[in-house]
Amino acid sequence: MTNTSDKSIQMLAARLARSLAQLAQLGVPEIGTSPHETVFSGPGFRLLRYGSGPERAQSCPVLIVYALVNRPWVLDLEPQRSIIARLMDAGLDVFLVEWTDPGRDDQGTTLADYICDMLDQCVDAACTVRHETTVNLLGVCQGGTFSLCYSALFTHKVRNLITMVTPVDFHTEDNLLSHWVRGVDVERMVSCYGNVPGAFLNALFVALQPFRLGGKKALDLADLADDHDRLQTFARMEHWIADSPDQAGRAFADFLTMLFQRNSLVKGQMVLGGRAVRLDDIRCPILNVYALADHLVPPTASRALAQHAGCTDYTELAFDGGHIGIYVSRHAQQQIPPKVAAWLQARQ
Amino acid sequence: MNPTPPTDWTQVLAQLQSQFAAALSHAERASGARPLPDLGDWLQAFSSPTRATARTAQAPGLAFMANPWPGGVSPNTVDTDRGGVAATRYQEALAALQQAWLKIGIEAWNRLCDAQTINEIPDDLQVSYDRWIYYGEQAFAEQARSDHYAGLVSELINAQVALHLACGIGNEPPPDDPQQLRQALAEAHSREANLRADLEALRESHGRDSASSPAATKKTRARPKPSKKKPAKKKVTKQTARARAQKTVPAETQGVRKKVLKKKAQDAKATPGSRQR
Repeated sequence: MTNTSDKSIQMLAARLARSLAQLAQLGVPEIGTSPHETVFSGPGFRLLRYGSGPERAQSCPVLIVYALVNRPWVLDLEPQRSIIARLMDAGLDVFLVEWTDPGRDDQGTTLADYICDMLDQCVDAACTVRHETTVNLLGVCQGGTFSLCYSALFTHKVRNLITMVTPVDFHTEDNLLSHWVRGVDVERMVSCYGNVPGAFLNALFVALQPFRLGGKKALDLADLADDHDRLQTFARMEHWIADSPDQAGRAFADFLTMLFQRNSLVKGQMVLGGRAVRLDDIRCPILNVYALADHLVPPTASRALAQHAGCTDYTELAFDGGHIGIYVSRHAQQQIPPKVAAWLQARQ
Repeated sequence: MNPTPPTDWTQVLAQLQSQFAAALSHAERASGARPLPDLGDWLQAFSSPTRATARTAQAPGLAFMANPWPGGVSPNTVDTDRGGVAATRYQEALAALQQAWLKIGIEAWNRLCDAQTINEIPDDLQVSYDRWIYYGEQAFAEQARSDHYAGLVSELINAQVALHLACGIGNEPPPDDPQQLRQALAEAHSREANLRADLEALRESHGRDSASSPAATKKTRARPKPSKKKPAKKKVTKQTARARAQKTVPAETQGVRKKVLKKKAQDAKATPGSRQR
């Protein structure tokens, strides 16, 4: 066994060294390259519209609301791994809310500011661009929770709602992150840091699956030697994972206390801008997309929406993969955007 | 049937993994390539359970907890007394969490040993690593879901914040003023009373409108016991939700869901060490 394994070690080490050398030569590949324009912006956000040409106006529109905790470019990682490009291929006019990095002056920006003000401005702007009065929202992860709150508060502005890997019930048994942060003194943390460092959150996410996201990922790199395309994808993913923006302190504290700690949304106790957020006020059709192997937002956390939403047209779509795979895997590219587009187009 | 006694192969495997770590380190230096952060530590941690004791704190994904200055934060000034207390608290919190990681590391190693004893030891070293990752995640998931582990994580975060505050980074939150809290509570009670009065007025007004409207009268006649309350929302159980979903999911989507579930069942049967792409 020793001789065989000695050889195995040498081969593995050689392959890994080759991958590392090739990776170093790649530099930082571009991400988020699908053509787009900024159609509206304000303090804390930009509203992007993808594609070009007059035919967009005839397409069914969708406004993507991404999370604050990472960059939205994972939805447009590279041409062959782009949920956004596939949605356009499926005939949708895609808008995206891009949250900009908070500065020192934004420490007091609240969750209500993000949802009731900034997101509302984006919805109005998209409506204006499209000459329409309502939008189709596609909320992703934390952005899905934002979209749920928005749809509950601004029922007259949302035509259809799609939630993707969205936490709704934050206190399900398998929600590790929620379990961990329930004892964190959030007010003190925010007082200390002002804006919460993105690196802190990033490390916390990795700590949820330390063996897989640490050791396995690195060793699997050995398989990518001499495969330029897969190495580029690896580099893009690493770049995206490491590039976590800081979080506006007050909004972070609001989200953590209201949702992770108190689970206010499903308890009907959430208040934003002085208004009660009730999920049973959402009467528009909902498509709830969740990932069966999601370690960050367990399916149980997402599927709780069925129990609480007030709509009668509620659809679930399960994806056999994880929280990141649902954005970037080849399987997801083939499966999710066409289903989302078909669901929307059937309800226009 | 595995002809190799577990203790022997464990030692061999540990030795080989250590050699691999050294070979990797040499390869990184020779190629001049950007090293993968912490991979060397990771491999060292794997090389033997006793060495894991010392190295697990530096394993990827856990390292942030052993770093008191994440996110580019750095100490400005240190209040010696406060700093001493905060530093002790931080060290104790870190030590407690490291103890939990040690337990996880040993458990992962033991499960791997058991699996390698029952199953054939693979020639491909990467398969052994994958098995170790699998059992590591398994052991980690069991521990990490416990209240005890959650308490350790939150205490370390709180201790780290306390240490930073003691070092002059940021400000303590203003203490709650009992007088202000009492006032806020009184205002909330007042708002609630106003809302209840508004609601009652609305109900009365709605009742009068209903009584005077011919259509409403007709409705009232048709329904012997009309309720003024908003009809209770039909409780959506998982079963009804599923039935509703099936009703509204396009046929194509249903097919996908069925396939997904079937695939998952197949995956569940796969051996733990099988490579996942």
